[in-house]
Amino acid sequence: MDAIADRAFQEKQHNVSQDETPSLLAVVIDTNPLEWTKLKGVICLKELCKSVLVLLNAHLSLNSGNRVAVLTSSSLNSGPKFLYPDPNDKTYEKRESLLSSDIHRQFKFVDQKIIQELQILLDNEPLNPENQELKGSIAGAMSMALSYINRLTNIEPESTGNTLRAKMLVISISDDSTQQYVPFMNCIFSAQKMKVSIDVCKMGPDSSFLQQASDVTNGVYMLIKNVHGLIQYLTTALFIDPSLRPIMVLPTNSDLDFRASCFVTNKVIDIGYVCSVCLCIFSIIPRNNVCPTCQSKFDDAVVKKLRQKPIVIPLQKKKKLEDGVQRT
Amino acid sequence: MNDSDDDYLEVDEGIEENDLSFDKKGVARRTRKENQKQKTTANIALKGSNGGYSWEDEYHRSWDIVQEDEAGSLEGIVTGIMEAHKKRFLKNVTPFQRGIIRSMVLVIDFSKVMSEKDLRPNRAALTISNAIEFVNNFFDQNPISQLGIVLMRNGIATLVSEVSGNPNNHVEALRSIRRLEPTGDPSLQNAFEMARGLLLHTPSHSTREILMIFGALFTSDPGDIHTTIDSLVKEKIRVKIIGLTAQVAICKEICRRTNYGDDTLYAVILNEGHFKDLLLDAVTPLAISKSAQVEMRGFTLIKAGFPTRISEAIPSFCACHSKLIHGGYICPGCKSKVCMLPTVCPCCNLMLILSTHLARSYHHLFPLKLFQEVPLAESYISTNCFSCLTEFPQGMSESERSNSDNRAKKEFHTSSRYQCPDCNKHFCVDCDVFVHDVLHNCPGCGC
Ligand SMILES: [Zn+2]
Ligand SMILES: [Zn+2]
Ligand SMILES: [Zn+2]
Ligand SMILES: [Zn+2]
Ligand SMILES: [Zn+2]
Repeated sequence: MDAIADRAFQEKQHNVSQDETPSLLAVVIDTNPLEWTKLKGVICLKELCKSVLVLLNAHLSLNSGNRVAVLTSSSLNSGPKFLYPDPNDKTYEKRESLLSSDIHRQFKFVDQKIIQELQILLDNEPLNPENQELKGSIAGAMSMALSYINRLTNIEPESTGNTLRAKMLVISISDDSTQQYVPFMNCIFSAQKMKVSIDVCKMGPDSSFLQQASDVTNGVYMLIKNVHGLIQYLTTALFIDPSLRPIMVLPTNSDLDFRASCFVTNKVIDIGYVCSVCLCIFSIIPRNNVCPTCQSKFDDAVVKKLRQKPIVIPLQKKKKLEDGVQRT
Repeated sequence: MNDSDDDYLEVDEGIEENDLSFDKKGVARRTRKENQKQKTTANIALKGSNGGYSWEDEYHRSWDIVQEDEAGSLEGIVTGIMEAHKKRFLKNVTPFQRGIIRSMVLVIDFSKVMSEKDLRPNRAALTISNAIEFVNNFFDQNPISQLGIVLMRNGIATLVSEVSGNPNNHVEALRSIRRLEPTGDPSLQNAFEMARGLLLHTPSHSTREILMIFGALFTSDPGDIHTTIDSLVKEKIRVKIIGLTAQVAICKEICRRTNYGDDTLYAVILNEGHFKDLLLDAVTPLAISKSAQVEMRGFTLIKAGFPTRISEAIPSFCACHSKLIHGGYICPGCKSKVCMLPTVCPCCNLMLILSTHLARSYHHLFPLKLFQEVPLAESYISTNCFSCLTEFPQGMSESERSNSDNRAKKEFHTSSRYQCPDCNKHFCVDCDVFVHDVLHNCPGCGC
């Protein structure tokens, strides 16, 4: 495993008891409409929803104390948003039912709520999205989910005494370039501190950030090529209990891309320059030799050395070299 | 982590704004981590209400400061205090230039005085367990830094663990010295000389720091300690000392001279909780002082590579140790395989790190703005916390306010809503603390 990222927490992870502690599953669904149009013909939001609902129902049926939360990341109309639970709406029965009537009440309650809220979200989307700004990001939705998890796993048990574990599933279709690096990283480390594993179900382009998220938090990363088997992927990978994960071969892609993003150009890079004061990463040497984030002035001599291109020295017979040329 | 002591109520800037109906005078004050302004008042904090030191003060019990309201109920006040307690965790948010790549030597006093039992179970045991916690926190917050540990015992300095970036080694070493009996005299000079030697080879872009936990009130040195101090100053080694007993003049001088005239890095603990707080302060990278910046020609820019991790079915040799291993990390510069990170590529000299190592310290850089408490009103725009959906208490109308029965209610004293200055969303106090302490993102600003 990654030697440093996990070491501060490794010690505490040993005695995770495999008891019947109920757990919370928080699902973050990427609803970036601009990215969804790119997946036209591959998968649609409706299909995804079907699979997610099956997953949620399965999770609820595993333990009567289990809970779920569903969030959407972004849309043109509003930022991150809870689809379930909804604190304001206590009148769910009044709306016309979109579901068949003979299903388990708890399932029905959750499913209906999610479908309705998603419908509202889509109804509010503008029809001509040309000059509209996208609101919200995966990191924002993850921050909300983590706050909610914090409330349910750390604050509430203080008074009620009911312990709860939590895990998160991120279903993403967007490219890394649409993400903000720092908020995203902050989410990963908070999740690690809170021992919340982040499982990732990725469609569309591969994501280095989300790979890191699942790696740091001991989650599963799945790049899904065949979307028709989505529910199969979700259930097989996600129902591996966290306590069993260290000893099982996970369906995670084994090669892991740890590239970072440049703070100035937002490009994803594998070799870059790091400011020694703030540890920000740049793909190019910043202009005027001043760090754009922390305004530190860099040592000119050091920068000059970094700017030097490697020189290819022509092969020569050593003995024939004259003194002046020899200095390399 | 920040255990509070029942006998003390930590009064912080934030609380004084809260309209709590108890007399705040005479309550022992404590400094709070990362509150730069309060750091400078560390010594003032020792002073009690009458201007003398706090131990000269009349002893205040925690139950003395609470007064009943008119209805004889404590509930409103207690909830107020609870929120105030939570608020005190909030920090100063001004971004500083900090030396984030650090090299530190932790010096622990293990002389005879450390077996005293004024701290429970005794000074040595508490110091060791606090030091273990410190090591873990240090590497959590300073992922690419180095630490070494030195013990002062029997008049000499003993190396406990070499300067390295692996917290497990340090924790192991600290555990092993639990078996030792604190004996002999401490020697500041010997300890500083050894720490100086350990810090000699640190790279130029790294800070050089010594953190000392000092229990005794004297030192027995083989030579002149002032020459040692001179060389510490010359080598730009910054010293922080935590005293366990009382102020010692030489310690104060060392801290003052090695920190560009600023002696606030020397502090004496008030109680066990304060001890922990002082150690936590040391976890945050030091701000680079103005005078130090003038001296420098500039900071270093480091070229670094972010490798890819591979896994292999058949083991291959690593370039760093020539050992056969499964998998490893591939240098993006020359495609050779190394087995451990962070490291310097043995083939092309590129520094190899994981971006996740660096990202841990970014919240020092982009601190989140403090949330403002929403002023009391008859009605509020929000009914639930934006991020955790907890229901907020409703506003109180004028007629309800005049009813004295309602004075005990929480909503009489506070709106319980905290607003982000950027996105104007409302949060509950638990989320406020969580967002600033753990997450460092505003969930509402994720747009
Ligand atoms: Zn910088
Ligand atoms: Zn090796
Ligand atoms: Zn290399
Ligand atoms: Zn909240
Ligand atoms: Zn905000």
